[in-house]
Amino acid sequence: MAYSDKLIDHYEQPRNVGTLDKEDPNVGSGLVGAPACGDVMRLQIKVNPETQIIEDAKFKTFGCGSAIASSSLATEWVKGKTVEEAMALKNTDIVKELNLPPVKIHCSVLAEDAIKSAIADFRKKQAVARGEAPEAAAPNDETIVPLTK
Amino acid sequence: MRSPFDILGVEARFDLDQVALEKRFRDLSREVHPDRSRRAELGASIDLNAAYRTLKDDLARGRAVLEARGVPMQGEERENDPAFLMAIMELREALGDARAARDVAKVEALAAQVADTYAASCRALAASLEAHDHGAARRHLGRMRYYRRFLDEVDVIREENELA
Repeated sequence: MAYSDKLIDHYEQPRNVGTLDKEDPNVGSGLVGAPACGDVMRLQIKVNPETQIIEDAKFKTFGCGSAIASSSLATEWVKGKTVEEAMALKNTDIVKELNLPPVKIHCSVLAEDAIKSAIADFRKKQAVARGEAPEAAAPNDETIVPLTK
Repeated sequence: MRSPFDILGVEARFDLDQVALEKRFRDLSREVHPDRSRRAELGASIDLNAAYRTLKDDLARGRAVLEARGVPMQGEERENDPAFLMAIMELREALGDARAARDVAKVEALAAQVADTYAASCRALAASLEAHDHGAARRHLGRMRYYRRFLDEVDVIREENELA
């Protein structure tokens, strides 16, 4: 089965690989995982709080070529968009653009989730900065597996 | 479709005696070996091999136990624990750095750490299946997959280093 040229291009030359300062109040970080394959993806956005425009976006993905290409494309697309516009991005847009095969659709879902999760993180930080009570974190019913560096 | 447990004629449980399982597989293989029997039995031989592969592997066997109990596996547990995902991300980054630096000792140290955690998860999976706590079993299976992906990456690095 042949992968599309766009997919291969994003995989071989991923755009916006890197990290933004997650302590910056204008930076939202989204960290998501794919239970079906064990891939992890982090996507970060830097938003101008006045205009709500996403001025920078970075990602780091440990996963297959389709997951890397999906997150690379996602960072390209959200840059220059408002938070509201970025929120409207759908995984099906990524599927179409990269011509992802059916078995790789979950990679685009992961990228969409990463964008939404980064936006949620940014909005939460803004709410805290405005002095509004942050949303309570979801309760966790399981102890974390200890992993030391 | 027959379950891998049915095909090998063993009890549908996670804690299988792997030595007995291998012997059973060999015995059955002789019976259905395509060289020795009708062409139609080629299919049986393929099914038997697939069933044995499933039952040899912790992750696949764990899923097979859930399937045999009628627990749906689609819509798998989403990993929602940010601390867990963060830990995985940091481990993958550390492994990437060690790979770039060709730091074999660091790669092996990380691999040993993750292999231990994988083994602990596997024991926890066995316990939750024993207790019929299927929610916990699915969570453990999900986490084991992240560790497995990490260890797959370690294998790739080891091969690279051997070729170098």
